[in-house]
Amino acid sequence: MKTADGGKIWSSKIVSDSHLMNGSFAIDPRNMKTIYILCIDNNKNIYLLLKSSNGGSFRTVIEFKPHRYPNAICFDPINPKRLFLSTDYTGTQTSKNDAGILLTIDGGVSWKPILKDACYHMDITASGAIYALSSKGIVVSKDNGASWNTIIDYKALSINSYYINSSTIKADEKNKLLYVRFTVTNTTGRDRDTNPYLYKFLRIKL
Amino acid sequence: MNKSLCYLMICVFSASIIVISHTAVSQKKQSTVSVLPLLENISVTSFDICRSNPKVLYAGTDEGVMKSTDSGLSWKIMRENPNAVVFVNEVSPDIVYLYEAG
Repeated sequence: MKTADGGKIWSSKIVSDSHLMNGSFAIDPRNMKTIYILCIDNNKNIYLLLKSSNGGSFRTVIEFKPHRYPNAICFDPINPKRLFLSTDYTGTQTSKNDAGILLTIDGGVSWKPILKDACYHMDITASGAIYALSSKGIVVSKDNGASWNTIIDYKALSINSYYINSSTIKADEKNKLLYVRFTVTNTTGRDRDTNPYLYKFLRIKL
Repeated sequence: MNKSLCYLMICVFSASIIVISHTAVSQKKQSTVSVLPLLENISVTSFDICRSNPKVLYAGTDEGVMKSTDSGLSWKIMRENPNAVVFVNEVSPDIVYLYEAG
């Protein structure tokens, strides 16, 4: 929503604001009027990446394929020319092939994959380190995605990545802490009819 | 073949396998980390940290919006609206944006 009169009148500038979550919008630190937003088009049931260059009107940059699920968009704080986008997939093997983390350096015109494993969420720290919840575990890259190291796998967290429904990762570089949150489908619990999801919120000391 | 020579060859071969296995394990080895569960028995649907003061966290939970000022060790309910999506201002930990669906 946007207001131009100090909050008296608000107007919607986004196709739909459902599924708004941490990481679903990014403001260019070089120009606060350049905004990227991830949202869902409820009519087509597909996700969109929208961009505004004037802080108000949005145009579609990416119309994602069905079953492809973008979940975070972040500027590199060291070099804000670099914009990262993480995507997951649901269901089909076809969409699995192009999930991961993508990088653009031309404002969203072209995208290059820097992580080819499906990614549930990511965070970029002030030093430029990229922390990601990938399908293979919690991983980090300190060289702009050229190489990745596994911090911990999901088995060690007693999580089956297949059943992750949503998740968030945030890094506190100063205190060497990672915070991760998972909503996981409850497949085995005796109470799964009344509690279809299990929640985990963890602090990981690096 | 001499029995002792044969024994020596088996030992060298076994040692090589052990060295190779150890190398493979070392390459896959993850850094040592410790994991602490936070807000156990509460459904946490979102959270955010303040970049300028990362000990401050806010969490959207089924009990409301909760705040921690000690890196997640203790929490206090700040608002009783359940399952809000929280966004913390990068500069000020006192400015928080909420997205409350419905």
